[in-house]
Amino acid sequence: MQMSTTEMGDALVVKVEETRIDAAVAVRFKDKMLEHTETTTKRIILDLEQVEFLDSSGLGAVVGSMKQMGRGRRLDLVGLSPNVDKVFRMTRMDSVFRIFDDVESAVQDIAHAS
Amino acid sequence: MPHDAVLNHVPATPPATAAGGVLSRTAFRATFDNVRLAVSEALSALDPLNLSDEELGSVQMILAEALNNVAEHAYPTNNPGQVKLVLRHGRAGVLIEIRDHGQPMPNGRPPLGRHPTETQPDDRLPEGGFGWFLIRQLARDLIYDRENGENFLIFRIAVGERPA
Repeated sequence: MQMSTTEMGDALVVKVEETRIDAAVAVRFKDKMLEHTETTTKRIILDLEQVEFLDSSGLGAVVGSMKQMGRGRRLDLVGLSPNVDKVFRMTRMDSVFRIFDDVESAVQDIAHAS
Repeated sequence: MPHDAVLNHVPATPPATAAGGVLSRTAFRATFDNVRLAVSEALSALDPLNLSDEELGSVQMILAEALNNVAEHAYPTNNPGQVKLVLRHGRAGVLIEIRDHGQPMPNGRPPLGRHPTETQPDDRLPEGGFGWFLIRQLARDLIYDRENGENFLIFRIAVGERPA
C-alpha cells in the first residue's frame, strides 16, 4: 500500500499511490492512515486521484480512518474518479466528508474559512 | 424442496433473464487477491459488449462485493475454498452465477442490504455493512439457493441488454 504525505500550510495531504482500495488492502490502508494522522493535529486531506476502484471494504476503511482520528477531526477528500465518487454517492457517505475536486481547491477552502 | 421434482417443468417462454452465451467461466481459490484477478478477467470478457465506463464500473463493483463476501464469510480466512464464476450475456443484461462450497448465508437467506445507518441508527460513521447494500442497489432478479452443500448466487446486471 503505497501512500505519501506532503505538508501544505495547515494541511497534511495524504496521497494514495495505488489504483485500488479494496478488500485486499483495506486493513493496511487504515493502518497507514493511522500512522500518518496520529502524530499531527493538522487538517488531513486524502488525495484519491490515483484511485480507480474503491469497494465497500475500502469505503469502510476511509470512514474508519476519519473515525480513528478522534472526535471532531475532519478528513477531507479530493480527486474522486467517477467510479469512486459513485460509491460515496450510492452509500450516501458523500455527506459525511467534505469533497473537493483537487488538492488546490481543498487547500484554498481552508484559506477562505480562516 | 427436492430440485428433481421441478426438472421437467420447463417454461414454454424463456424468462427475460434466460441465459444467453457464456462469456467466461472461471474457478479459483477464494482469496482477496484472486478475486481481484478474477474480476479483472471478467471485465475483459465483457469487451465484446462495448459497455460504457460507468456500466463496467457497476459490474466491477458488484462482482468484487459478491466474490469478496465468499472470501470473507463463506470460507475460513486461513483455508479458502473454491469459488466458481460464470458470466453469461442474456437478453436482459449480464447474468452472473457464483457458486461455492462454504458456509450458507446467515439464516439461509441473502441479506436484505439495508443501509447500515438504518440497522445501526446510533452509528453515523458505519465502517461496514455496505457490501450487500451496494449489491442490492445494482443487482436485479437476485436468487440464492443451496443444494448439496453448494451455495448458488445468481443475479442479473442490467447492462448490455440485447434488442429483442
